[in-house]
Amino acid sequence: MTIPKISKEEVQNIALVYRLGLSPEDVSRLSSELSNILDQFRVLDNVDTSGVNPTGHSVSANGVMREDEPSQSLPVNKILQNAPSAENGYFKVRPVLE
Amino acid sequence: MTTPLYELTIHEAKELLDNQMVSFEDLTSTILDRIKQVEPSVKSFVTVTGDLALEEAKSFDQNLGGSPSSNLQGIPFQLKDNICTQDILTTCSSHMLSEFIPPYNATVVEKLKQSGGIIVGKGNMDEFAMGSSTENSAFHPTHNPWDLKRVPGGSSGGPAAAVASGECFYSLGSDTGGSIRQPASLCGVVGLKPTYGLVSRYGLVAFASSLDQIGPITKDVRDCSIVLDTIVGHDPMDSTSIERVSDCYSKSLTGDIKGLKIGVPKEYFEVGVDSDILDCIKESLLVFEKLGATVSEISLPLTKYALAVYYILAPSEASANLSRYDGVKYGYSYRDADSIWDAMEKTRQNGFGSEVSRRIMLGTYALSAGYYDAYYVKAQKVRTMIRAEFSSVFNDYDVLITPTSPSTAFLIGEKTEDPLQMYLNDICTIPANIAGIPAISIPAGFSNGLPIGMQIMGSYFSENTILNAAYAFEQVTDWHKMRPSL
Repeated sequence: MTIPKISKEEVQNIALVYRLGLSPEDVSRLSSELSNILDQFRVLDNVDTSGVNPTGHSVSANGVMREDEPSQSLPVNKILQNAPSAENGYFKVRPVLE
Repeated sequence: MTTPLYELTIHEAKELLDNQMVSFEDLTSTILDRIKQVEPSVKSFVTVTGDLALEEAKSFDQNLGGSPSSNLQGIPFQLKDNICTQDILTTCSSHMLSEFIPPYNATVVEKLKQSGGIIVGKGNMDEFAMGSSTENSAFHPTHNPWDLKRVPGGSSGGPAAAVASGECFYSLGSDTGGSIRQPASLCGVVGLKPTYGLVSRYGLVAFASSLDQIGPITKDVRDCSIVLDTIVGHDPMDSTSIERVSDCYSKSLTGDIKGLKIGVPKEYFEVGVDSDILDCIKESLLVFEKLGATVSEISLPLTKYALAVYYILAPSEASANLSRYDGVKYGYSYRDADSIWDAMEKTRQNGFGSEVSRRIMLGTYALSAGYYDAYYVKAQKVRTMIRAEFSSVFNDYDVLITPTSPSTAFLIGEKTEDPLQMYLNDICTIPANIAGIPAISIPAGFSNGLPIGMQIMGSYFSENTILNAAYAFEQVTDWHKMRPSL
């Protein structure tokens, strides 16, 4: 397939999908860098992969089952010790609905 | 004694402890003094835990009367700063985690602590393990102990530089595309990436989960085996860790490799490798022949696709893994935002450095609707073919030998402008991660005063074989005994 150059608008869209903030300089730089990098990936177009299954894991990992036995979890205060904002044993977040 | 304590290997230091020639406190304070002496110029640490280390060493002297009860008891070590340490800062060399104090230890840390290992600190790295020079650390670059103007490689550049300069006896790194082996090569030390699943990843900050693996960085192969013996094993906390009877790696080093079948894949010698490195590896192959191994040139034609496969799969997985940094649960959080979305965007903008942002963007693009099949699924299919190609070669050969890195240590700043140029540093190491096979880098020579590394790859769970091949080479060469003058 033909790989399009990555426009600045496309860079902004990808960043929005991810919720990654970018400065205008980042957007221009990434537009050219990503285009160059993706260009190199076109080498894979030369590989015939028909009939080949994709590999997600390098060593065949079967589903791992275990008994559902209750065990000790970390205490709440340890979990919250790194929280930027916490109150009454909960993470505190900004309103999601406005 | 002529050799300073900090230049010894683990097994040499243990012998001194066994014979009570040194105390635990002597050993740890020697290392802490060495850190004080060279750290201003090498800068391999993010955090030094000197007081804790000394306290522990003193308690061993009091409680054990000076004799170690395991191979690693009382031996000071470092950990790459993406391996979680309870109550000790774990930053991934990122502003995002610059104040993160894990509430638990990684499984490998638990194992080393149970063996009586003494943590002296956390090693600098490329941010979130993304890079090949340690210049992507958000805090400071690390300098190569063999030439301070040069990089130590990466992303485990801090660990490799620390081991080479005697700031610890060993360190643990993580290897996603060469991040243990390439810095080991550039710093003249031994670095092993085990088979995927041999060592638990629980507590390793995730980069690309299907490729990441923790492994030892040491001064020689015996040390590497000793550390590996301690950190391997199935872990219920990591469902990708493999349940199998552990080999005893340090006891299987015989140095006898008569009849070992070595394959030399020609493609690894055609990727812009420096001529000094080519000559060095060719000479090393003659050493193996003298030891009774057979050496044959072979071909792995899919090698040329490995880099593209890696730079699609690793950023894709990274973009998923790093989405957890949202400024809510832990890590840096931008406080002055108008909305939750604004907060998340600014948190990531300020928290991540440019290489991390670049890979997140690359991965998000490769996973996005319309491109998913063309990039991500295509790369996964080529991955299947690369694995099959390795498997078929391992029917006929015991190990494969190649250079570890196409160049020796390059100058700080030399490759930072061009990401593609930087990515090429991993060209010889990436295939082992894609296939999940074990690979080691060992010192094999020097070019203009800079170390050259040789890579030995083996089939799944053949750590015994590659370690023994590496050990045999060490028995008849002195490259692993060279130390930088600092």
